[in-house]
Amino acid sequence: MKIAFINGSPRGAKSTSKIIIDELKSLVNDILCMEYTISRSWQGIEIIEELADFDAIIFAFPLYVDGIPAHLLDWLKRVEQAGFPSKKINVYCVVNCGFYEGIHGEIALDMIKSWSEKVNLNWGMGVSVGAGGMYPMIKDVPLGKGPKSHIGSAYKIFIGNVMNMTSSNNIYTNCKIPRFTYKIAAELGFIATAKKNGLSLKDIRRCL
Amino acid sequence: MKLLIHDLKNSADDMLKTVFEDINNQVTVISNNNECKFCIGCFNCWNRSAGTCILKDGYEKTGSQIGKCDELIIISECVYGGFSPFVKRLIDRSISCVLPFFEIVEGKMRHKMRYKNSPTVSVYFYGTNISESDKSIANRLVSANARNFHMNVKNVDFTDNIHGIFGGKL
Repeated sequence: MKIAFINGSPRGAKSTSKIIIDELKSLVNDILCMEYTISRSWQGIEIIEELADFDAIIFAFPLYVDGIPAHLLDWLKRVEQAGFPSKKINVYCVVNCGFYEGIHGEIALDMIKSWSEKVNLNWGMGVSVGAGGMYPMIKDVPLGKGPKSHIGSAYKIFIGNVMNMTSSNNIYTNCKIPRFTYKIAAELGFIATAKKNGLSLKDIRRCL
Repeated sequence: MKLLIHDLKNSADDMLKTVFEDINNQVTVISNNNECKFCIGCFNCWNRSAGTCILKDGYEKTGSQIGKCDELIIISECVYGGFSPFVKRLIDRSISCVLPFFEIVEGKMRHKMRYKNSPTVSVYFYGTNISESDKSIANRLVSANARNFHMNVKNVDFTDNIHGIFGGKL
């Protein structure tokens, strides 16, 4: 079996999506995996012929305003226009959201499903992970433990479907941390960065 | 002020202005001049250049324009139930219309408003044979965007003939 991972984050190798891809790869031992990055500076569709050689494609990207980041959307559209070679490949997707609740990613997953159908590929399933802003801070926490206990369970079901080439309902989950704690930590993080950049609280709130 | 974002040829700007302008509201039109950059996910619009996008390409103030308008009008091809890549570039670059602080509303998180203003939003999606599934996604997307940008949905319309939808004025 061969799996293609497509990283749709504009941050590429330094992204939460990359962390997620590495975690998913760790769950598929002895399977040939290749990674591609659709970044804002590279959106080639030449890889279509290569992708046609895989059994499953797994997208990983950050939720951008309830949807797919524009550079990835642009790539998906151009792939549709170019046409995908006729082969029944399963498409799966993991979205990470800055908001706490994983359900925010539902629309983006449905859009990837819509694209899959338009290019005659099979839609498998998706996972949307909320509280994604803290993911880099817990990247060394093993899946299934502590703040990753929910995520570990979700990925297990997800990878099970990938390996069996089956479909299932999407899973909406989040990093296991109280919402109040996540909210405060995220806000303090933004304030701290703003202060380093010379902004006061009043500056952060300014209206043009 | 009405803010109109569209992905048609920018030669349509003037005609669209006349379609949507009225005695009480001027229309500002944002269209594609092929210079619009993609969002780089830096969050500088919140913690460095607060209120504007740090990428200077003429589209850096779209967030404030959305936040301050009375009505946002979007004309977009319906792509997988969402906006076209150009319109989505603008939406991605517009998160400065809200603050990097959160509130919980009806059990879900969203950003707090920056501008004490809740514009209405009207969306006109166009495309050939837009499926019922894509229409469902589109309706949910506009509702979600409106919720997160503190807007009120006025209408979400679909057509396979964008040139006919405005009485042939386009």
